[in-house]
Amino acid sequence: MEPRHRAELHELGVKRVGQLAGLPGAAVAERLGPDGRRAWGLARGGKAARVRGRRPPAEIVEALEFPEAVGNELTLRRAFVALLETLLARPERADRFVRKLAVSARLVGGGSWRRSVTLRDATTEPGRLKAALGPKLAELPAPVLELRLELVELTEHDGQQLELLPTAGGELDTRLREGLRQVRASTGSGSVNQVVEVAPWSRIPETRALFVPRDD
Amino acid sequence: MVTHSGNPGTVRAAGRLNQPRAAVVEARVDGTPVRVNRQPVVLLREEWRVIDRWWTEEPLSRRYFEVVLQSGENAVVFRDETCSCWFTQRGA
Repeated sequence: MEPRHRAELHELGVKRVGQLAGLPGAAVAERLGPDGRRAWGLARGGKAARVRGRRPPAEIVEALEFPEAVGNELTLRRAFVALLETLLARPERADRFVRKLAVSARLVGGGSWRRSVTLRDATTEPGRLKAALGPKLAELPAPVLELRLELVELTEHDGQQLELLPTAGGELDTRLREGLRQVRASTGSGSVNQVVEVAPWSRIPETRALFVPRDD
Repeated sequence: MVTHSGNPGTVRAAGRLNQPRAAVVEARVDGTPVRVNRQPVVLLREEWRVIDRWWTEEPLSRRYFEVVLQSGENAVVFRDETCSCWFTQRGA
């Protein structure tokens, strides 16, 4: 509000926001113009519209920290696939389809790198997601210390036609997941791991494969 | 847009499979092992060398032995020639 309008209100004995809000709007507008009317509106709590909270960005993220920096593209692709499978199995996804996903990395020397892809048709097929984002790994400018995969945007629950018949092996997969859940329940988090072959050609045995905890 | 799940992301620290484990090895003058973790070696099946990463600040030079112990167990041991230490290792 302009200083002269503030002074005018002060002379009229209006010193608090509550006092301004208690005045008739039309009278305030007549006396102080649009500036006063706006101040009166703000004093009464602004517009009557419902308050809308900011939607946070993507929150379904999986990251893999390597024991040492990895620069080999094939190794990174294998790690990427392992992350993708873990991410798609996360319960928060709740059968929704992936519209947009991003891959990012923490690089040697402290830098970071990120690429994202928006899919024309939302999907949960690992093959399509891999084909969409996997080639971006070739653009990495330096060896990677940590690889991170993020579901940036998902469709709503009814975003896609569901299948009429369950896919082959679906029941076996469900049983396997249930079995792993029981193992985790009895032995604690971190007890179930997935072995990811990252450099099977290596002459150094301990660099051929990694184990990644699976808590999904 | 994805709603907040409360437990947003997970950083999983990947571990190495088949990490070397320190071993107590007695060796002959020529460097071949005679006892591994206090068990006598009854057969030396194979021997090979791995020299790698010589272009880095952490070069790797190992002399591997595949042996059969008195208990019948097959074991792979190696001598790390940069620190003169012995290790056992699976998956070699």
